[in-house]
Amino acid sequence: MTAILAPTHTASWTTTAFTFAARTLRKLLRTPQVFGIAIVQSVLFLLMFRYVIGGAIGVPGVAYVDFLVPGFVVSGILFTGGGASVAVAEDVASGQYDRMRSLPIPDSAVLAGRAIADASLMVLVGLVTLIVGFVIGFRMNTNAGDLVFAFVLLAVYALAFAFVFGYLGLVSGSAQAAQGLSILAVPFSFISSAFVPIATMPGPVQAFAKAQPLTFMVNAWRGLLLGGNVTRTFGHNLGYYVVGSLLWAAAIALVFVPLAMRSYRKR
Amino acid sequence: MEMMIEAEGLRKEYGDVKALAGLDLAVPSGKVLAVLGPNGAGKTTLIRTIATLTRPTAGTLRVVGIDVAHHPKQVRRSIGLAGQYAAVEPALTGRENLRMVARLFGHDRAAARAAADAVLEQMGLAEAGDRLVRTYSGGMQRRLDLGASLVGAPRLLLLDEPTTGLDPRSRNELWLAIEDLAARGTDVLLTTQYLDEADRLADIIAIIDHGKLVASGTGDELKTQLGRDVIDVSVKHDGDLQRAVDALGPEATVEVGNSRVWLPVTRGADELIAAVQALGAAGIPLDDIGLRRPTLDDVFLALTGHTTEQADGDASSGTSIR
Repeated sequence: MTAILAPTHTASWTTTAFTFAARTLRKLLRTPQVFGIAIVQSVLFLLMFRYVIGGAIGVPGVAYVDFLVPGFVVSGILFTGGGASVAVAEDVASGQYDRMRSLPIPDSAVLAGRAIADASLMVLVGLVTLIVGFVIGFRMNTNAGDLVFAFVLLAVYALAFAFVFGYLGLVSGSAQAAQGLSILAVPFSFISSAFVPIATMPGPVQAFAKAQPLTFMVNAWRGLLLGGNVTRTFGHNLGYYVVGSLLWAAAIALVFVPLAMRSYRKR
Repeated sequence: MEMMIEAEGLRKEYGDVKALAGLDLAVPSGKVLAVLGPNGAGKTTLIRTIATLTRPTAGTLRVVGIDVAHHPKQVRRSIGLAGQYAAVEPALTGRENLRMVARLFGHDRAAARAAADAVLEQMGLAEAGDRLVRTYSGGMQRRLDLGASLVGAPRLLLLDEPTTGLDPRSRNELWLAIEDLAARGTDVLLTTQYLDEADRLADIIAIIDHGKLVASGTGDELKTQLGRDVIDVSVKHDGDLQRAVDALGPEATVEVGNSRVWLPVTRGADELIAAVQALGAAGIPLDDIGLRRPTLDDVFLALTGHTTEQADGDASSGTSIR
């Protein structure tokens, strides 16, 4: 039998991050409960909004299905993220994070690997949602460059939020608790411009909706996919929302990366 | 001499709970060390501290000569940890699990592949290597978990209650695997609440209770330390326990929960006869009475005042399954 030799080097940051990301993605894709439910949930709600609730919602200057689909793709990050924090909580409970913490690898690379995998899943769900959107009547008014840029932005938002959900999974203590925390996605997505125009909301709610990250992200996406007809209905130009959304993503990462690092290495 | 573990005054407090209360322990390399104690004795905290997962509140700890507080990453290069629960990913195959851990230990792709193949072979999982782990039996998962701690060829293997919850056959298979590793020269530190496991696997047994070292030595040393044979009395009615103790004298101890009275003796057979007569005179009906060599159970009872199955009020490291 071959003797195993001790490795001469430790794994680099990149090797660690991508090894752990690959493991996590493989797991997510092989666990239909996670991937499948994220897709089904997204599509189900999209259909409900399009055919049940949508008829009663009037949006000035644009067909509701066109208004809805970009909002749905972006806010889908939050709903897919709930599953991510449940998965993190499960890994903690099963001792897999103990093994990671006992290995000579950088903590930040493990968390980054996890976030890369979760963000990839979020973008993938977003892509599927967009395709379903086309089937139910969504039409873009954009060019290839803007479309690619929109997906780059989506990946950035997803990465920032992946750290939030990773953190929630680490501190929740159990998969059930993590599931409970994922309800946070509801107020954040509903009190935003994702599903309905902000203008109809009462004062304080409207103030929150205008300032919070999801509105910036949704409006940036909408502007990039729908073009001038829609950006004219915004309070600001498209650049304001794109820059604002990136600032928000940076702020979220600045807060939640250190928080996640601290709770990962809590001892 | 090279040392596996050197702990001095090691303390870990969680609020008011003292998981480790000034533990001193020094064990040389080249051994299998079993840390034996009931639930809540501090075994899991000790192994987590050694694995750098938990930071001690006070005291010093060197693992294979490396200070844990100052060089945790160096320690992590030298250890392999297998925990109480099989920390393998059910949605990956056995081989994928091992390759991933091997890569994270620092092996390049080719070396990781070779290490995974060698470990699958060694753990008797070569044929199951390409199956998803969620199709494995509990014993197979535990062996894979043990294997995952080996792919980095660690100097010290840390096993936290490796056989808890396993059926007797899987337990035996895991014991064989651990013995095989020790024979190849890997240092092993395992925690257990099973005396037979410690007796079978360990060169050195450290008994801990309430976060402190109670005794350490080889199984034989510990039994000799107790020094004496034991008279074991099982009474028919629990109500007679106190009367039996009164009849046998101040050295007799009641073993709570087992309807047994237990008496260390120096003059074996003579004292057995005396004991039979004393109990007979007191008119206490017996199930059984006998003279025997002390077991580790007796050592544990003599040193801690309770058996390993009794958690003594606190249980922080899971459930005892026996």
